[in-house]
Amino acid sequence: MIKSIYIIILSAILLPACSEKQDTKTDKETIATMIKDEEGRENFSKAVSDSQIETLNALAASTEPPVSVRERTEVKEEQSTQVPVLPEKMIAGVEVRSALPDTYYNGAYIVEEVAAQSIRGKAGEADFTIYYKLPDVAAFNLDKGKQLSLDYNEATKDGSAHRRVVLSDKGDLVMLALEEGSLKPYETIIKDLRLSVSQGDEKQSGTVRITFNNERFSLKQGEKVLKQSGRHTYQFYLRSSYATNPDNVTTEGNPYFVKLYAYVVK
Amino acid sequence: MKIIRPLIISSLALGSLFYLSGCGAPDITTFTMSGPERSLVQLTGDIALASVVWDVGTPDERTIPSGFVGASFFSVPPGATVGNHSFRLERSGSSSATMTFNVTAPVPITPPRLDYITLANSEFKPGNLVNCLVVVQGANVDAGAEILMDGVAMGTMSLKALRNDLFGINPATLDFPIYHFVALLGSTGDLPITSVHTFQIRNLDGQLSSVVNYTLPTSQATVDSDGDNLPDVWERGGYDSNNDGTVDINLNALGAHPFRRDLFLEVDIMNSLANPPANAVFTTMQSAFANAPILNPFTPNGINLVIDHSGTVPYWDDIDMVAASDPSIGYINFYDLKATNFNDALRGRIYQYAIWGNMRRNNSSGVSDPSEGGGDFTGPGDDLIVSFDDFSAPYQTVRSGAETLMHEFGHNMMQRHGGFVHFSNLPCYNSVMSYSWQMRTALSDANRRSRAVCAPLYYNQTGAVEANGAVFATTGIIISYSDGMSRALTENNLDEPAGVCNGIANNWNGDADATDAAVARDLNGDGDTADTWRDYCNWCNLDFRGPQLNGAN
Repeated sequence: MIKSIYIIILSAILLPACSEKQDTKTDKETIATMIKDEEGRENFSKAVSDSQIETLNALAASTEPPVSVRERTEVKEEQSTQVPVLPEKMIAGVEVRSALPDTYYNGAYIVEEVAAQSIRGKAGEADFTIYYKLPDVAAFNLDKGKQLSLDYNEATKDGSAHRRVVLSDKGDLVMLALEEGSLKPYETIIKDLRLSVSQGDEKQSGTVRITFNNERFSLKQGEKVLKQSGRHTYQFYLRSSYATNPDNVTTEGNPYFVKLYAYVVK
Repeated sequence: MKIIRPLIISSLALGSLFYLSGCGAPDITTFTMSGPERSLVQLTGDIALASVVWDVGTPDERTIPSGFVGASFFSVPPGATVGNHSFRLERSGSSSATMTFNVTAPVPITPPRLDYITLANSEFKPGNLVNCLVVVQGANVDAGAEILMDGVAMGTMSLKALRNDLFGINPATLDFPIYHFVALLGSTGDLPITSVHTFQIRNLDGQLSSVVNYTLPTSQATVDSDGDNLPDVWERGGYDSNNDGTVDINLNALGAHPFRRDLFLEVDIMNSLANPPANAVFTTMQSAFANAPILNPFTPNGINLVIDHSGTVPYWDDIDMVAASDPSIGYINFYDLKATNFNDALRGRIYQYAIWGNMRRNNSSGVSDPSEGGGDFTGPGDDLIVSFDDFSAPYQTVRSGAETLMHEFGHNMMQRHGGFVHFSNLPCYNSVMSYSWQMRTALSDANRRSRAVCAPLYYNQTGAVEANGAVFATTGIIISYSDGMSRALTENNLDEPAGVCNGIANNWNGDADATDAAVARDLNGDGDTADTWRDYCNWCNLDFRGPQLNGAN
């Protein structure tokens, strides 16, 4: 029975709205008579006699209507940056600014300008600038108008941003930035450069095995090493080798990931 | 005096009505003139205390249920035939003019969905008893539906309603099209404190929602009316972190209310980032929570999300939650930064903590720390990282930032990449928790083509399509979790012309067209095409316990 009391009372409280000009006392008596449950009627009458009901009018009411259409508030879009900026304190990294119609390209690249930590040029007809911050190199020794080959691919796979930027000159490596991962220990082969890369183990601070020009060597993350090939000296720098249990559901992105850079230093 | 508190609480909503005219003949100023069977009809005008009479002047003339404060809303009765129906309002023997409502179509009958149970009052009594006003709400609940407690109908009033926008999607292309949400109010009567009871909603047509258990509160000191894991006494009077009698965080001043769910998030932004988040990132996410389909008694709808993004942390190239810090490679462990930048003693019970950093070593855009075991989440988290500062320019947008922050925040509230599962590119899961939604506009056209979504729901725009994978142009950003409406997808019976929703064709098998029927595709890459995938309601299943359960970590 008590369950119905509230509902009756809730309804009854509404009645004064129809009787502003009537005597308040009469309204409350009327309300009380509407409460069929004896205990509820007594409680209501007691509340009236204790002057509790008068305080109700002073209470703040919600300003929200009882029914509305679900809001979908739009916020204006902003683009933080169009030109990649490598943080001043960044140890190493490569980013590109591309006017290509898509996020992959494999073809000719004409150098237009070389500056400290950037190479500007054309990938086909599209402007394509590489921004980099790499240990022990400021500007590459590339002549304006020189034609190179560019292998570029950026894509988000399994929640990780993959990035591959390879500049080469008739099969000779100029610069490689490899930021790629996998659902299993990462490995890749780039035949044109006579290069293969594979993660050594599943520990988070793992090593990476590299084969370059038939020479095998390993790097731990943070390590760099010089390798001679033909008339060039290359620096290989393993920025990081990440590996975690692929069965962890809290892992965002690839459970295996390698960031490796290799580039001409002289 | 037992009755006083319920009266006072109830009148919070009704106080304004004391000043309405409410006398004489009611009058309708505006109303929805047409809609399908069971539509929620909204009326304005002099409607206080009025009742709704349906099918006026016909043998079926009858009074039908309406809203808490009078005829502010009602549901077109189940079974109403297609065509015109007359209705009018009545009050104290007077009637409004008779109006016509056009029922445009029958609606397939689906059960109501019970989404939330909260409290609008708790009256503790001698003998370890408590009498609660319960607010039971859900999707496609009729005005006039009943609350069943332990299988027995209680006196029920329809408190509030919220109409939903389907953005022009044909409801027939959704498994559970949500036309509206309604909150119901009822009283439990005197029951033992901490006792567990079952609740259901019964619609006007007799259909029942699923059964939900609810535990009644234990004491005035611990009652949490809105279920946000913040006791009402904190939300009213403030939080005393060290129990020294002094309020340390005035939650009420931050917008907290005991009847509206509140979330608190501190975001410290790394110094020297190339693309630090714009303020709009945070307002976009706050809007998403404020617009959540949650009907709060006597307060605004939605969830109040408080974000303090005033702090900074030193720059590191890489940040993650595992492995010890290693300055030689520019790597910092998240918890080393948290220890020196987050006042856990003061805020740890209230706030979740985030660092907006540069990048993770696997170039993922973020990570969070819900507990896990056996291949699933076992408990909510309270820490997260956002880490896509080195992603390319198309990613550096407000939308991508807000989507990523909301994605990781969702994990901390036990939301998965695939709703019921962790599969991360589920086409029928309309949520920023899906990798197909998060950062979608930054993907290549080819990537978008391969990650089908229901475009009108992703863009929140009628008529939205991604022509050949291109981003649909919008005037602004709206992001959201899923309401759980989508049509299920069966891997061995995918329909290309039907797509994911609304007949927006999708090339499931990757051939040259999108016209094939009964196509098979292994959507989750598990090696078979035997699975059926369903949408999942994130908003109905947020877990607010993260800050309490995670301590300093």
